[in-house]
Amino acid sequence: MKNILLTVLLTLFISSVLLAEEPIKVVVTYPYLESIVKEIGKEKVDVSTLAKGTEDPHFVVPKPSLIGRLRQADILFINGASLEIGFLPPLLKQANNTKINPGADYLIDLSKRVELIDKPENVSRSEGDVHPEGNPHYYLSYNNLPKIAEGIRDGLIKVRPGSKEFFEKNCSSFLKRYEEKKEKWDSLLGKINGCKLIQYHRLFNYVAKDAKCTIFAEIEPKPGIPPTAKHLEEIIKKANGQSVLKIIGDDYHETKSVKRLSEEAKIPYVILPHDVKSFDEVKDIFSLYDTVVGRLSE
Amino acid sequence: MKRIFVVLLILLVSGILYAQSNDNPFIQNKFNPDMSLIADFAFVSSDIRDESRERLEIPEFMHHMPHSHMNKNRGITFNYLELALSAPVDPYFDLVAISTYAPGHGIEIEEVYADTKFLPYGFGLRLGLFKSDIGRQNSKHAHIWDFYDSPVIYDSLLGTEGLSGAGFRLTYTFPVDFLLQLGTEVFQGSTDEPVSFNADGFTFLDKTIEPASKPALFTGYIKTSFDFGDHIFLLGSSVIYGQSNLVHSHHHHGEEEAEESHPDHAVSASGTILYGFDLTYKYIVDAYRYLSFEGEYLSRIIDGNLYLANDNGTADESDDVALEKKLYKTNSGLYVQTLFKFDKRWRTGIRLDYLFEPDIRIDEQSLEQEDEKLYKLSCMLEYYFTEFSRLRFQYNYDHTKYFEERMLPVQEFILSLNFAVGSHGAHSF
Repeated sequence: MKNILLTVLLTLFISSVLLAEEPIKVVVTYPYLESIVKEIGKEKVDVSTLAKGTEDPHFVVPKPSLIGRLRQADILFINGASLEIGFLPPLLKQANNTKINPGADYLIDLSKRVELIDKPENVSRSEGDVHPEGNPHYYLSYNNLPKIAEGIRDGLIKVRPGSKEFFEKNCSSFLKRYEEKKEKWDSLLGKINGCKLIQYHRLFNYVAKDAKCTIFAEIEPKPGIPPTAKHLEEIIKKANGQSVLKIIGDDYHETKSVKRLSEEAKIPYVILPHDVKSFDEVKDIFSLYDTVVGRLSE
Repeated sequence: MKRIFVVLLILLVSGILYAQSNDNPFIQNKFNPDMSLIADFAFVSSDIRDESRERLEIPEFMHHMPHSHMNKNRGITFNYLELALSAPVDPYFDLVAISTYAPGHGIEIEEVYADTKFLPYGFGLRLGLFKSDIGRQNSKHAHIWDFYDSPVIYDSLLGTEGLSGAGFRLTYTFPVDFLLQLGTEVFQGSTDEPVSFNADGFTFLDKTIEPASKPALFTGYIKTSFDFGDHIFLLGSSVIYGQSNLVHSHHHHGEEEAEESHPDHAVSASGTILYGFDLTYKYIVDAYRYLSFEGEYLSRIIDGNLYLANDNGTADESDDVALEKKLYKTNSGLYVQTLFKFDKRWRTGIRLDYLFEPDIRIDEQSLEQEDEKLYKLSCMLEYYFTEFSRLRFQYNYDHTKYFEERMLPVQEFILSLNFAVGSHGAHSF
């Protein structure tokens, strides 16, 4: 009898300890955010990611099962700048989670932390899929990583103030590793300083800015509009004698036009990842920048 | 009606323009609701004349062609203009209003509802006038349908636009890593154009049926969804319970005034049950391609009284009296469809509608049924210029309709165009 009582008490004690230490349920929209959240939250977070690394970030499949994950979330980190506009609002509505409803405290829009570029003066869909807030692919520039990491750190602290030191420590050691990497990335981008680039979609504008390169042309005639033969011919004509360094394709758009343009305009092409887990070798946020910067400066 | 809509639109636009002019110190345009406009047009070619189409029916399923914005008259037609407005009311509610202008139908408020944002533990409450969330197809507005027309079983049992009405809905989402959601709805249950459910009373010849106590329409559903990698499953099961007070008219053939319809028979049943199951499977091939399969089965059981006109021999129809009989009637049907999005801009699909032989017993006597199999086959091909504009080509072979008591297979070619402007709509699953 005594034994049973002891066992019950012990079980209760252990489970209460476990409950107290239950990880924060974090939901993020994209794999790159998952990678950073894991660096800062470590064992104190349980992360669910809505999009896959191989999806077009503008057209993520709104899987109904995601509603169940949002329903349980303690905090939701989003990229923002309307990148999630097509799939997230209805899922949030269905999830009915007061913590992460639009306007609630634990829906963290990380684009608010960084300075967005390419903000259109006039917004019209006749210009294609434009984002009124500016270019939403800011995370592809490693220079924006500290701001994103700090946003995530502050969000996690808001959920669990008791673990403030833990998150701060992880964040600063993460950023220290980042500083070391940054030197290497800076010197690699330095090699292509001032170059001209052609890209498929307006994905790498922030990277081009870091490398002080200019985007010479886009394979899409307008954002989100597939290329036409006529448009490709125009690019070829325009690029003639302009010494364009590279044509950038990416993992989720078709690469046929990239290869064709490369062949006809005699400009080498490179296929870059747009997110973590887009290619097998892009396992985390550091390997994302390693691959982007590495391939671009090759 | 048309004029009111135009005036409203002008007022709205001028209001926004005024609000945006710089010298207004009380600028409020940041508070303007999100607004979107959807316009739909079609070109229809069919082997049946428009006047004859009006008189098609499906015996024991559909007594007259359903009320629909999706025009099927021959030639070029403007189907509808939809205006959707939405905004947060305050920290506690969101408000959504969707109205449609369609030629011949005037302006209709399709939905006006408030959603709560403050209920804890995964509960949600919707209040107002809205489309029921039972089944798979019911809550969808026409512009996100996968085909030009709605499934035949919907036309027959719930109406082309589906079940909707004034009421409230309570949902609960379970805290699990997949979707498990329960919902229940209470509707007033009275409608102008009843298909299966109506709680209002009626007078048929000398028989008067009192209205039922309201609210009189109740629904319940469960939805679950889970995925294994790129294979996504969504399953649902729904039930509707309500009053059926229905008067069916038949048209006097050959007469000039088609409006002069004559009550033919009436039904009054207090515990009509309509239940359904739906299954969706979707395989995500890559960023832009997918293959999906969807099927939905609906069945309705009416158990009540049937009133027939008892012709007492005199020529004067006003002397007719209602003859009361016991009625037990089960109608079921389904649709299955497969869609293949094979490119960022292209999607194709095929749908099969099938109606099962109804089980009808009048005064416990089974009614002999026709031998004809009732089915409809549809195929479509869509081209998306962008996600905001769509061109669709559809072919229908409809083997469900009867004309003057004889099966009349109908073929249709439809070319439709749909445009959406304004705030960004959601991509549907």
